[in-house]
Amino acid sequence: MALLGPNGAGKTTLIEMLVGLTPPDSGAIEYGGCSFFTHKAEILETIGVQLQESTLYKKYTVRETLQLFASFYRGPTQEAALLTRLNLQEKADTRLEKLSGGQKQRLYLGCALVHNPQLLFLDEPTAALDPQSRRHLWELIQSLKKEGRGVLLATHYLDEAEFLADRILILDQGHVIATGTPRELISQHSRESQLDVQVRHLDREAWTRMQREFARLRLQGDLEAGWVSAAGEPADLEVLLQQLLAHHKGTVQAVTMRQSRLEDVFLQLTGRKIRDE
Amino acid sequence: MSKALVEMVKGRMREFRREPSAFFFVLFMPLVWMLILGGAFSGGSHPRAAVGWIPSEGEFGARVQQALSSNPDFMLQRGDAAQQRKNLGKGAVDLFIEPTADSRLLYHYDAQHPDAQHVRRWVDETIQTAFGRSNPVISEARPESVPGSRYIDFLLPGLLAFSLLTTSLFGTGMTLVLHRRENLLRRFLTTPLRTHDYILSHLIGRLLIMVLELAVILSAGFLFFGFRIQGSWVAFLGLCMIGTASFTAIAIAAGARMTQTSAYNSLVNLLTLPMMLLSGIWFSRSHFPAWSQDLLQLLPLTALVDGLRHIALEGEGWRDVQGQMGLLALYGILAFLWARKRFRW
Ligand SMILES: Nc1ncnc2c1ncn2[C@@H]1O[C@H](COP(=O)(O)OP(=O)(O)OP(=O)(O)O)[C@@H](O)[C@H]1O
Ligand SMILES: [Mg+2]
Repeated sequence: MALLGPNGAGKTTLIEMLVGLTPPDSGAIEYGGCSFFTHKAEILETIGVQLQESTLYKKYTVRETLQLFASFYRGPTQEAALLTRLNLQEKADTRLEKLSGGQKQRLYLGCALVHNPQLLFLDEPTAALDPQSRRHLWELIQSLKKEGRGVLLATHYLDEAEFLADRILILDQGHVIATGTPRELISQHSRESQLDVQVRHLDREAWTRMQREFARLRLQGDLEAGWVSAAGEPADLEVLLQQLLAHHKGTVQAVTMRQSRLEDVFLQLTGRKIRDE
Repeated sequence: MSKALVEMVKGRMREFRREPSAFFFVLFMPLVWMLILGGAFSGGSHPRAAVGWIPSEGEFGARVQQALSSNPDFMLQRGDAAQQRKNLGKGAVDLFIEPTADSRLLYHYDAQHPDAQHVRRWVDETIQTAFGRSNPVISEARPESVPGSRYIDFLLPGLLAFSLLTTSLFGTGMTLVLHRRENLLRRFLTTPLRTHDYILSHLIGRLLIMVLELAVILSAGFLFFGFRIQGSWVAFLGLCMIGTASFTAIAIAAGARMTQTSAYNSLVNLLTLPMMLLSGIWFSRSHFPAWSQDLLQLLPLTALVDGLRHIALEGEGWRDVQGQMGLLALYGILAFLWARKRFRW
């Protein structure tokens, strides 16, 4: 499950409550009927956590770090297998201060995996990584999913959520505002399509009139840059497009019309609030 | 010992070994202090005096100068009155001598300075004897070096105690603050690592490092200065352990909830600098007013320094330093309770 939300939505706070770091003001958190008050040790043995903005000992090597974390748990560990899995065999004896960002993130994930947990909580594991490293991490997470582990992944990358998550939970200002599979979210919240038109210069007069006439299509545009975007029923968009074409003969540079994606749903659900701030 | 504790202690040692500055502070600094101070105050069999002399014409002046320069303990510095006055102000001479036209001598010195009084008497005696004063009683000086009475013997336990204090406060407390700031402590909290294993790892790590500090400082004292522990070795070691444990608890209490290393640094300086002066590390506390003596004895650093000196210099044992041990233990327990109450992960 992916936890989606803009900055400050409360993703980290939610995860910290779920792993017992922050007590909730109200409500209760239970793992199969066990709560942190009664079964803390048992719960901690079954969950693996990667916190946002958490660093490890710079002076330790990769192997030493994994050994340290493994020593906290009851069961035996197979560091060698884990190193291979993380693709860190060659870096096993390198100190953390010398690792690249991607290698570090993989090690952080590894620390959450040393005890073979059933449930994983990952807070923005791919923040600030290059596309290759992100892919690499995605594949790792996907393989964990295939092994039947539950993964709760906080992120604000929509492609990440779309790629990895079976279900998505959108959070905004501490409230759950939508949950479902990506497909469900799109069909529930956005039956509409998206139109983007790029012209050389937007005709001021026509633009003002269109804004009035097509208010419900949530028109946005820029006179100078010459772009227009709108979202709504495909039939309405078609009318808008015809008018735009009529007013800007010969200067149209690009037209795209597509079905909404998760990104549009996300912006639709959370975007307005950001602009209000 | 649990698996986690073993790994954590191994980790503590690793941090220490791989952090050059930790190494420097723990092992190098006390040595430097020892060599500088120990060297400065133990050169020569007895102290020499710097004496200023304003040269004058005539036989009287020549005889005085002759008397002074024939005594190797005086370092004679010639110069006119203005020059001498300047030197006196700077402390370059302990006293200067001005011969008058009618063959008298004027001694100029700082009346507040105990050394200068002593030099005046010494200079005067030398000159009077050279001019023929006879001493009715025959006396001879027999300088002896009583073990444990030199400055280095006094200094070394002080340096040791101070080094145990600062390395605990800077080492353990700083680690704590840094790890809190980097969210590492909270990361541990999401694992089954037990709190007392974490705390114990700090304590055990400190005690191991303490053994190293002791070995380095004591063996340097032994080799370079012939330092000896007159009393019980076991008591000396035991006191060092209680002191280190207590200072570690104080460090954990000081860093119980801070996240800024600069703030922690200031706090530690605030704690250590006054103690460094008041506990009599470098110089005896006897200069402080009488009413403050009892209060100063209550400082944790004083307890450790005094206890170590009793054992090392006066040859005392366990039973004689019980008071100091109890006080250190009390500080440790109070700090620990405070830390437990205030601690933030
Ligand atoms: N349910 C809630 N009720 C009240 N305040 C909340 C709630 N959830 C979060 N907050 C507050 O909102 C702020 C930001 O929350 P948080 O750090 O969890 O956001 P985030 O989604 O992780 O942001 P980012 O994407 O930047 O990491 C915090 O100060 C937190 O205390
Ligand atoms: Mg966050």
